[in-house]
Amino acid sequence: MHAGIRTAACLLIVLLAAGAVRFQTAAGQEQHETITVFAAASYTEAFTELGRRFERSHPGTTVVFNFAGSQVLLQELRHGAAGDIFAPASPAAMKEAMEGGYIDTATVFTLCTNRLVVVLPADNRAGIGSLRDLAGKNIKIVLAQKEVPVGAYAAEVIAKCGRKFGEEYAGRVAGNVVSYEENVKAIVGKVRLGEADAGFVYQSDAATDSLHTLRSLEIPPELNVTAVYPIGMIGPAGARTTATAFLDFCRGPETGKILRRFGFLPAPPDKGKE
Amino acid sequence: MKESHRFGRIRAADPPGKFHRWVIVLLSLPLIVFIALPLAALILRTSPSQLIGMLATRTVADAVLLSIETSAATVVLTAFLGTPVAYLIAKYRFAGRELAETVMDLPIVLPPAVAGVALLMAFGRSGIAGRWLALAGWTIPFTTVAVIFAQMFVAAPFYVKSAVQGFRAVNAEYEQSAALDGASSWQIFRSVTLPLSRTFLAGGILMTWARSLGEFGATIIFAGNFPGRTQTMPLAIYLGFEIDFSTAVALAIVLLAISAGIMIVLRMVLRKTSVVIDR
Repeated sequence: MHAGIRTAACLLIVLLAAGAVRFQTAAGQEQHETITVFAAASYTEAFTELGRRFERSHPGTTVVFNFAGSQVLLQELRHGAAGDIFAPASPAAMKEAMEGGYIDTATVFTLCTNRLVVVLPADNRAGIGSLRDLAGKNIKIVLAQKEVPVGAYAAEVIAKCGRKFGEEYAGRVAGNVVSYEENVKAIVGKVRLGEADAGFVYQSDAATDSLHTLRSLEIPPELNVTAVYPIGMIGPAGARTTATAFLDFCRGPETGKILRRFGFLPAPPDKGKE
Repeated sequence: MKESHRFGRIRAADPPGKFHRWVIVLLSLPLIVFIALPLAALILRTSPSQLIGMLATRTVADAVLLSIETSAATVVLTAFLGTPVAYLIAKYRFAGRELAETVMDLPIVLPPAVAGVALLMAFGRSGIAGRWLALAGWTIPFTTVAVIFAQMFVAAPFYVKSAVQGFRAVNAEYEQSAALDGASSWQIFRSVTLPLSRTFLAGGILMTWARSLGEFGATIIFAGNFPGRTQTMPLAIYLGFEIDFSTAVALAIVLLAISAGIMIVLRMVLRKTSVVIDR
């Protein structure tokens, strides 16, 4: 019994100490304003950098990111997750969020675009040299679920390839799929480890592979798709100066440069502000 | 007040004083409500007819079947491979015994996602053992076998832990007197040790079964997600939550029902244990 009380007391002290540390940290950041950005998994590296730059140019702000597949972010919004900015990887996800009333519609614009590539492990042991090879025997392909934007885009590319390479192509590629992942980074991970022979991801995912652990196989423009990335403020609009400042920062030239460096393409000029 | 005798090993009547009992009831309520409310919410959300309709869909049926098959395989394999391990740890003294026991316990505290990565590093195509298997033409990731691997890794330790306790609880005198009567080691094990520890073994089996039914993190990393092949109930629930909420809820109820069934059996078995100990 005594030992139990002593253990409980020890635990209590640890908890109090942890609380005190936390409180102190919070007190130190009293002047801080924090915004939460719900961003598509494909943005992970680019937005982390973007957030760092934003914090530097806007002292007293902190940007917190929630990176996940766009469909996950959408579900989180539906169930009342608190956030300030929504940056999904497809107009469809943004449209659904807008229809659900989660977005301040007036703030939405197209931030950038992206295209698909096929990534292969560095050793490319399956010897894939062209899109046609994806229909070969004993090839393990990893896609995203069709509800994930990159999964839907990949299905589109495969369908286009099928029209070019013959009827059997799409079916054979589908037969080679070994897993439907829930976001694009999970695909990259499995290809990088060499567990899968090929995966359909965004060009930006291949571009952020600074360690060259992946090879990529270009998809020619006529077979490719353009992924449009909208961004907007999570509503209802209030006194959201920092969130507004973040969106302004996203429109600026510095953001454009960062996004390009990470493999994203600029938004089509006519659709820049919508 | 006969009811009170049925719970666990509390044999004595209530502690004296009615006030006392109500205080305890009040103190117990918050946690009971906290646990029961989400479970009830899950059930209240779906009508029985909806549920049956859901069960008939391909995704749900596939996931339920796959989960039952893989977890059954896990349980059988665990019983065969885990019993010698538990016997070794419980009955023999050797260098590294404590280490072996700790290693067998580790997956219980390891985050399942870490387990998934570790399995890839070991049995993936480029893994330590996996590359040799690959040369022999066997690739494990993305197959149903990978699902069983993931489940065994996280769930088998529960059985081993329980079996070790069971074997240790058997009074050595019984085994020794059987030996004096001329019984062989195997006979002693089969007719003395095994029956006397059977409730621990059964409890361990059920824990392993329940844990493998719920396995998610290691499976999605090591086995991926492919309907009918590697998409077990927890995966279908998680991925369904993003897409189709009602499928996710239907599956969750099925999982809940199966788990509840296992737990009820477990409680019945454990009640038997206490009787054995009291004797």
